Amino acid sequence: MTAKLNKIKYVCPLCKTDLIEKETSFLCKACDKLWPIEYGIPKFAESELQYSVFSSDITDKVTELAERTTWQNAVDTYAATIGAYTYSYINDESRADFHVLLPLGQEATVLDIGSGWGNIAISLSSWCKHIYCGDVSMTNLRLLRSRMRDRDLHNVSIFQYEPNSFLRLPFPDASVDIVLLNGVLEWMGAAVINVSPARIQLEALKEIRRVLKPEGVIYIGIENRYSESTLRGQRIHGELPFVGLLPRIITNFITKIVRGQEHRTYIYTMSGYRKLLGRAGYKKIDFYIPYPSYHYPNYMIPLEPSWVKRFWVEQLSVSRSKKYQFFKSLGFSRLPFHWLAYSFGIRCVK
Amino acid sequence: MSMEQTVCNLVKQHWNDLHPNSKPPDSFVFFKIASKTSPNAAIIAMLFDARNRRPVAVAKIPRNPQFTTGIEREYEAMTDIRNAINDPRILAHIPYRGVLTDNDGIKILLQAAGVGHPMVREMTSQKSVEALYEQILPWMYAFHSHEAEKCVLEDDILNNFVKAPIENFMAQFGHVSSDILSSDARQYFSELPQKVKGQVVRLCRQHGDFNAHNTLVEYDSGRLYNFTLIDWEDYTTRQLPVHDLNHFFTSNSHLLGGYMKPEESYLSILLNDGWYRNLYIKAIEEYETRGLIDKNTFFTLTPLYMIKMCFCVSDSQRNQQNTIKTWIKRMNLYINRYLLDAK
Repeated sequence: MTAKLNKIKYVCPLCKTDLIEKETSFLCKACDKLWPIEYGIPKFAESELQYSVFSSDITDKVTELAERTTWQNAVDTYAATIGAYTYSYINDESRADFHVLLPLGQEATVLDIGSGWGNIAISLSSWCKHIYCGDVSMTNLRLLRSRMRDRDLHNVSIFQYEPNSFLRLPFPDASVDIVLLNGVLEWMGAAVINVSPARIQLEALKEIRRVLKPEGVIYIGIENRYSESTLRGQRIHGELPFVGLLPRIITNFITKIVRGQEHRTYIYTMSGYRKLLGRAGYKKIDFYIPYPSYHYPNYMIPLEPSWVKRFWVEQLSVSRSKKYQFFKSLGFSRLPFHWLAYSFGIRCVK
Repeated sequence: MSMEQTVCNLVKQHWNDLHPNSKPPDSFVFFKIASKTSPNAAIIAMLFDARNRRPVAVAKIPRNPQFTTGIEREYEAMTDIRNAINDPRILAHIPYRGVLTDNDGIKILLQAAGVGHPMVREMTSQKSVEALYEQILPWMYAFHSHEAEKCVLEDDILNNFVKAPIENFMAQFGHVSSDILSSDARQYFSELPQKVKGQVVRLCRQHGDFNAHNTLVEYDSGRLYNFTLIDWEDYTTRQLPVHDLNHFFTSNSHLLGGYMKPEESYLSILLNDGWYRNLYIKAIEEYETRGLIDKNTFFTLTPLYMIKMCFCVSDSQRNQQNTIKTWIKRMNLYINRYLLDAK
């Protein structure tokens, strides 16, 4: 009962009017719209995006098995189909370790947008009052619900949001302390609407700013456009190699010819993110290099003051490779190598 | 308030426990660094004096605030070391100063920061490894010899340090097939208590995870001039003197093996004759000279170290069950070599 009183009352994602909770749906009196509750999960969406680490013929089986038995049993049963790296990726709770940089606490309400496998939400649930997990895939949310049930977590709420529109959150203004956007902002641009990805991303950041309390914090984990990996031709988000390095107009042109569709998963450089966040109204913006990547933030290297990253290269790196020794002897640690970092962790204040 | 700010405030507040008789810095820089990945391990942060750009403290924050066994164990180790060891030559290489704070019910361990970079990075050749071991092993001998307690392996001592670990191991892992735990190994363990009964050993303090990842080294003009041993959460005050030495040589052999599987590097680098094995045997002989344990008993008891590692990697702090097979494979290989030598 107490937990329920502490929860935020959902609002209509379209008109922001308070919703009335019914047995199997939420009713918006202003729009006269019913938002259904499916599998116990509020569905604030009219379309769905399916994505999974499991192949499409297995996903439903995993989900059903998790609901019948346990999440771990289901994942272990089908572990061979995803390989050791992915298995660890969906299990590893240390992926949330960046949270030490966030103003969590027993009074904090957190919103994890694109909560995926839930590792981050599980880890954070013991550090905050309540955490809301939103995702675009009902199948993933069902799996997540099983995982939370198995862990007996009562301060986690799950909801589905609409992938093919501007981000519309079912939360009142200034209701959340922290928003997480870990590996999600880039995908938001892929929404199937006739607007540029940059605009969709900007509107998403504005919408997040709306639900943040004053001095609330957003944390973004995302790739760097001109990283050592993209410069070597690594395919990021399934896009064509090297193409993302070119001006957007050329990138779009080539991608359209080769793949028949536009390049949508926009990522930026540090200054690009700074501009985007500034335009969305955020003020204090701190950059970190999550090493080896924002997926596994073993180190969260602050970019300010700049000598910390030099300390990291010279003192904490365990590399014994000749390449490392060579670059170190050239004074590489004194260069602004963060320009080429694989990804960034960005913390901004409303 | 973020954990970053909380920890900075705590360090300022407990500065005297970390660096007595000095003034705390005006401001700190907080840097989250790598740590073990299990759900019950600690998140580690390093704090720098912002003006002098030097690490001054390490904070260990529980990943799961309800599970603080690891940091409590480490704090107990620091307390024991502080109270029991007064030899400055031993203390010089241990970050023993620190405090376990309770911040709104969340325990956070603060330690004076060890200085240097991981020794792993320097293990690039036979020469560099020999130079490192030349400085570190004498410290290990001194640390283990300090107040080591002479005893005979019989009655309770034999039961607690030999029979009980074997029984626990067989109860937990004995069901695995003979492809994994060899029949020679099973036979070996069934005979081990009788074989070592009556031997004299000295029980001593053991770090518990003494390896190149937990050793920070400082170099000046290409010469090692200081090292610090970190991560004391597996510390024990009364243990057979076979753990640390074996662990140092065994886990480091994997680093020297390049892309070899751990059990392959163990066999080819430590068990097969060569410069690294010579170094190992020399270290065991030094233990014998210091009266810690005689060479034969050391070799005979070594599989107990692998047993302890199987329990260590499966404990909730580490959650590395996937490496148990590696330890059992090493155990089989070691026992094979031991039996061959015995013939």
